[in-house]
Amino acid sequence: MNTNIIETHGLTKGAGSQLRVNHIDLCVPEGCVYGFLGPNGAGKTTTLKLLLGLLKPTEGTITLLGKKMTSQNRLALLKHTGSLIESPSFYGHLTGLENLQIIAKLKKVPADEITAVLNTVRLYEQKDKKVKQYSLGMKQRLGIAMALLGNPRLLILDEPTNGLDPAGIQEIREFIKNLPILRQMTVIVSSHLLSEMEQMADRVGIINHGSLVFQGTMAALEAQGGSLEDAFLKLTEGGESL
Amino acid sequence: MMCCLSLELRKTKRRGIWLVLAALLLTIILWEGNSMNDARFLKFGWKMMLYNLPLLNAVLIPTGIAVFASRIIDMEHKGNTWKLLETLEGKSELYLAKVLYGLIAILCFSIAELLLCAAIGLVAGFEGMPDLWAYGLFFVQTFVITFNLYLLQMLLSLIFTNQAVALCAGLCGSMAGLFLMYVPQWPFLRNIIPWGHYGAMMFVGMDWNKAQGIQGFYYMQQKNGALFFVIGWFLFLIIGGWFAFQKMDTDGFRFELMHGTQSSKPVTLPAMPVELLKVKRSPIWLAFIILPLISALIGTGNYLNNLEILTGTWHSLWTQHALFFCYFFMPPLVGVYASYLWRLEHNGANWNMVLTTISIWRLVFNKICLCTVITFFTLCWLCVLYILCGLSAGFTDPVPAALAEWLACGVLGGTAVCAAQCFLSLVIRSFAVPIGMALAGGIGGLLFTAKGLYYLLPYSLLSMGMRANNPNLHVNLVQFAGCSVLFIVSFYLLSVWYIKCHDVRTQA
Repeated sequence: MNTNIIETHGLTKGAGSQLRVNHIDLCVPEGCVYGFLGPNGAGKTTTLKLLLGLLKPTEGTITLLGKKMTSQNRLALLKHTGSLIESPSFYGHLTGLENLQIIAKLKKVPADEITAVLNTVRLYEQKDKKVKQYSLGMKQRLGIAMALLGNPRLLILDEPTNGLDPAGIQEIREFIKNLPILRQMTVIVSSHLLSEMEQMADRVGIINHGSLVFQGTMAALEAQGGSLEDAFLKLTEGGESL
Repeated sequence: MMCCLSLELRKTKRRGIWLVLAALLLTIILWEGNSMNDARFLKFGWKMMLYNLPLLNAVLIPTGIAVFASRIIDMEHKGNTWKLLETLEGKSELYLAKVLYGLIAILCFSIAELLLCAAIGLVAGFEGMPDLWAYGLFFVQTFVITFNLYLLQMLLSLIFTNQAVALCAGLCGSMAGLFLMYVPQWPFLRNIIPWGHYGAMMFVGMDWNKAQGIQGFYYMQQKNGALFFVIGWFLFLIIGGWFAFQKMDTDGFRFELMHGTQSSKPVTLPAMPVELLKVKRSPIWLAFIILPLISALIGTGNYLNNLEILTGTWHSLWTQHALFFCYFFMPPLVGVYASYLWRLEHNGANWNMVLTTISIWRLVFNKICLCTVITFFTLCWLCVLYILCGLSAGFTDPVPAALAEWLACGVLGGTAVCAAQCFLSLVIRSFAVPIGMALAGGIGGLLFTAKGLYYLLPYSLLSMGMRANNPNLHVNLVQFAGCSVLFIVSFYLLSVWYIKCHDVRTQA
């Protein structure tokens, strides 16, 4: 856990009253689960979108996998990443399998990996159903399967347990926690639930009103207040969402 | 009820719905005004206008109304608001509010069309006064027939979440209605489809002969029973719509007859390109097959019924097949293809996935390519039908060798239209609006061609390439190819620039 797989310097999006991300300096060490915490509307999704080059930063730089991201090398760097941002992406008129085939072809991944990820997210039996017939939880699982295709070095998951039942949430949490050990992946996972991060993350970053108010280990966070919850509420001014 | 209606008005704020009707009206008036600018027509201008307007209505209103109805219904599909609305207002109230909204809009449209036509007559200086009863009758006809079409399109947009189905149905119906106006021998056909009612209820005829041209216009009594069909359709659609709203569950209608079985085959990667995989089971293939078929069948029927005027066998048959198709139907059809292809990415959070897996240059290239391939097959299908119809009509001379050149030029011009429509559908997220713009583009193409400026608009390049209005026309191939390539490259670069310079917007 020495080198940083992601580093940002002064990352900013927007200006004035429209400032959504304010001079963020993220450091995500390789081989960890990095929890990205913050109340609703704090700027988590915007930051993750900036990391993937889906939004253009107003200011600042992003270093991904040791290379400064530019519009020229962006896609080459993203070949080593998998992501699930906002909500799962899918073509509803196609089956789960057909959706994964599309991603596999775009990522140039062999067909056996599709079977593997379908089994991982327990969707193999449902693979021939159209995705528009899937439940919210099944769509979320499909989104995770899409992100896992190609065994990326870096996985960026935006609130991945949305829509899952309690058993599914526990299963995904365990799965994410083991990814650095079993598959040598680094995972950035965003959430507004502190308890979720407690169970999964090695390090956390806390964002509030677009600014990074804390970054460090869980133990360091705990040291900020009486309990993790107290520390979080103190840093986010009571966890007030936008 | 008034509360539900005012909610409908509020919901359509910033949807540009009234702009759709305004654009439709403007196109009709410009076209009508342009066709009335000959001093020879001033003496019978008022009657001539009543002769022309049903034709314009038949060409333009069905597609315009399909766009209008789609905008009203699709916002509920997109926002997934059916289940919310059902907890706040009854299904009957919701249905009546949508019907009433359309009724008011179409009433305003019909009044505006009438007033603007009167203004054209006064400005142009038509002789005498218009027959008020005739204009009153025309107003009622336009209002009732258009309202029927609105009810039908609303029903289609409601039943099929994918708006391509409703818009393709509007295009096909429009084409059938227009062609059937030129086949008076089959009055029953005009009556049974609601798009044919503009022609079926016409009450002004033209006194024309080959030697002297237009001699005048006269009133005629329609005895084809069209009125009963209009009433029948109205009852069917209003009751059908009511029934459909009552039957709809909170997730809308589901048609799942073809899929859902578990396959035990091993998972493989299909060989077909990604973009082609995405359009699997797509309804656009229906329009691709049906629209040229309607054009061919009715065009051939029209040719066979006018053998004394159309004496050029293959060439005459070509104009019957290609003229209306290339100017009025092919551009919106390409619009449907392009809108469908980009809608796949506009849906949900798909942009997040697409832009992290494929380069922008490649993505836009793939979209334009696939759109061109479908356009190519559409034009090939038109040519195949043309040959089959010619052989069935008993032509003994060989098929014109120039057909290959018309097709090649048509595909090149068609690619320019594909590039333009792909850009519009990329920027405008509505499914229907770019299709309406394509219809306007097709008409613009007609006007540009009439002025000899066909190379200034992609839509006229398509028709000119296909020699839609005159197979003997000489086209400067270098100029034609140069302009087509210029449009293709320009719209390609514009599309890439647009994606590169704008932040990703998703519907998630």
